[in-house]
Amino acid sequence: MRSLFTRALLPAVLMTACTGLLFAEDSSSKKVPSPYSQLVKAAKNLSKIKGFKTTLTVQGGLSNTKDHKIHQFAVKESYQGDIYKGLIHISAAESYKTPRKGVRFFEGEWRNIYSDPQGKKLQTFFNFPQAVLKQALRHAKRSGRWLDADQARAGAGANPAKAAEEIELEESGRTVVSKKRLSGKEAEAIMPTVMLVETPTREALDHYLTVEKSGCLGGG
Amino acid sequence: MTNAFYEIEIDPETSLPIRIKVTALTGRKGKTRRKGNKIIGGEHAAFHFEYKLSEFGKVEAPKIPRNAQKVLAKLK
Repeated sequence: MRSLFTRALLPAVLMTACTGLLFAEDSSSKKVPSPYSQLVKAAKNLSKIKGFKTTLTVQGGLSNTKDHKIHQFAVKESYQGDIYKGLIHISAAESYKTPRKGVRFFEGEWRNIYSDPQGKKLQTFFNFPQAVLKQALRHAKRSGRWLDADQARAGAGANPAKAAEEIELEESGRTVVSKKRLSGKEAEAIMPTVMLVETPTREALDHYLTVEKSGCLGGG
Repeated sequence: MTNAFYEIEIDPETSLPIRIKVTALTGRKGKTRRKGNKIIGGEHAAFHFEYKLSEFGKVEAPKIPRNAQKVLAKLK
């Protein structure tokens, strides 16, 4: 009995364990996709979806810290909108807007969104996320980088494979450790998810001028 | 001096964007600390636009009031 076990079962168990380790190595060294390719994919996936909800928070003013946190606010707004194809409905502000125009209900009737300062701010600030992504895509190839790539790598290093499974060999008193291959979801969990895309100075200036035009800085 | 950047978070399961943050910064002459062309501190103006996206595919077409439709159609 012992001889049969040594000849047939032991090599089989060892082989399984080694294969497990091999797969585990594959999973941990899974290539991190480029931020550009992931952004292309995200933009494409979003374009296929007709409707979704968006919350926009706008904070602007003076900062004196490295993380650009505002300490003196010039603007602090929050909007919730339902986006459906080319239309945004902001129910709290009683507004409907398209990328270029919009209407708002105030003083008892529907008017051009630009007719009052609140509407003007809304039209300027609340862009379609699809359009914002498109702008980011223009620069992602050149300046896109993962912000959490190190964390993802560390996570992969700390847990290259799923918890080890211990197999005690019958009658031998020895234990073989077998590592399981990562599942798709587990592999996703160690992928970076947050990217940073820097814009050239010219576009940065455009962003700032847009804010200035909204009138929220008091300059009209 | 002006800087701007996008911070985008993508859901690894769906490959959909769930957070998009646009930051625009403008320096103040003599008050802003910088490293090369980047604003790294000191006094500066900062604007953050943060979009959080959710409930994908769960929003239906809005019903626009007739009068709102009329005004919208007249606008160029």
